[in-house]
Amino acid sequence: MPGILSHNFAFDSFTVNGTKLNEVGINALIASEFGVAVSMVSGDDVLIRETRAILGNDFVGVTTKYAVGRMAAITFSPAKVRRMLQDSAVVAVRRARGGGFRPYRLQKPYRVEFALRRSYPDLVVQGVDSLHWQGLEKRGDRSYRLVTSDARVMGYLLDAIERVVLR
Amino acid sequence: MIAPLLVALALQQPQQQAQQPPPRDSTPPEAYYGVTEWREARAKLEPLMEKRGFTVYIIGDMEGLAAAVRNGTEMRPPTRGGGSDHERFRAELTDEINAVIAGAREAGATQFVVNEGHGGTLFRNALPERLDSEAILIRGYPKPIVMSTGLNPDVDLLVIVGAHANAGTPGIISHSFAFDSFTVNGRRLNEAAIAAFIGGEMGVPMGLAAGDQILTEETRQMLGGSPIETVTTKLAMSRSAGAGFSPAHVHQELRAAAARAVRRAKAGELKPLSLARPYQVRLCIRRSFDPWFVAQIAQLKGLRLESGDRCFAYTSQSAEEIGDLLNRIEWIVLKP
Repeated sequence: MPGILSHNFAFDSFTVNGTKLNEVGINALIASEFGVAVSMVSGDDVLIRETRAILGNDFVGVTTKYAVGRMAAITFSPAKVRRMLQDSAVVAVRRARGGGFRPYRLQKPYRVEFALRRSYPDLVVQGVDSLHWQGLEKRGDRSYRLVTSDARVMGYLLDAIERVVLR
Repeated sequence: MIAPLLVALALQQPQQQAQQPPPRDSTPPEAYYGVTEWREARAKLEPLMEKRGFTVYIIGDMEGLAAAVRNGTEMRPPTRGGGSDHERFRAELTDEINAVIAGAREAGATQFVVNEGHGGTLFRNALPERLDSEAILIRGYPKPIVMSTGLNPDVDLLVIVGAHANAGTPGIISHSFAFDSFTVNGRRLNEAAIAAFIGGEMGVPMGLAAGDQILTEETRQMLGGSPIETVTTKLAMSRSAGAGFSPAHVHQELRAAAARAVRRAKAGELKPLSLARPYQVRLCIRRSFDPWFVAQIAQLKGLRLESGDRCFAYTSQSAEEIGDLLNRIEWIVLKP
């Protein structure tokens, strides 16, 4: 089931310790290095469902629309969505103040594995190769592995890859 | 300076013609955009609906809107070969839908689902901020069953605004999907009537259709004597000219007609369009379409070439399945 404009940074796949992470999951892991928990997530139904599979039920989810294709959706009015977000933010902050959310934890060291998008030209792959990122191991045509005990290092690598891709 | 350039161009021409055109993209929509199956679209919409209320499902097309006459500039945005006038008609579409919602609400309707039905903008026409904030809006392309996405038996009344007359008629911007003709069991159905057929199978009646006088007359006939409301927004004088009523007048009419349609539906006076199974569909692809389109369409499952080079037959037990076929044909002719 496709989500609206579904994608994940520069990747066709991205896992940590074998667990598939979407962009929310990746940011949740980085936030956990600082002891910060995800309290609220909003997006289409596919996003909310897959994020529940990663983070569990431990966040306030706001479904803003229901995907019926990658570019078509059952949508609510902007006014209604803003009301939903406002109401949900109140719930999320109250629960957070009561210590209701736990940072997202995975076992350290993190085994980060990803594959660059098939659709990218080879130039992008060469650009990532020429980062010569310490500890980044090339495992295949477009697939890589990084082992680190600090999710921030994973975040810095994502930044570097984005700089190659978004140039 | 120009003459040598022309000579050079003339010399180049035969060479260009000899080159094969690049192969057309025939990737199925699933592979590109992941078109959700129509059953899944229903499964997503149904839980969002409150069962005990009265639900109006409004299809928003554009050719039949008040004052709309010209396909090229008014029906498409500049990004798809149209003009800046299109923006004006997006507002008009939204206002006509809002008028229907207001009238239906006065008569006791409680829930409103709006489905984008106009392909010229890839089904993104109504202005979300301007639309009644209680409405659910289904927009974007590709989406299942084109004009009847998510339609389900919990809907109480079907409405179409901005509708246009059938292909081959002198209505304003008259056409029917990708067809020169489309019949089920020998009955000609325009786009409005096809939606009524899909709704009719699940017991949902069409209660209001708005467009030019050709559209309103033919839709009444096609719905076989069910006492539907119609609002004539303009009088067609050619396929791109007409005498139009003012938008303000049309909104008033729509509001009153929607209220009457809801009352009729509540009183059980409207008859869902019901045809005998199995449905025998016969469709002829537009003469104006490239043979490439026809060749692609001919590969769709279940279609049988019947006569000539572009008329096909299709037999089905399900109106939704026929709607899905229409969607697959749209994908071939309307690739984004």
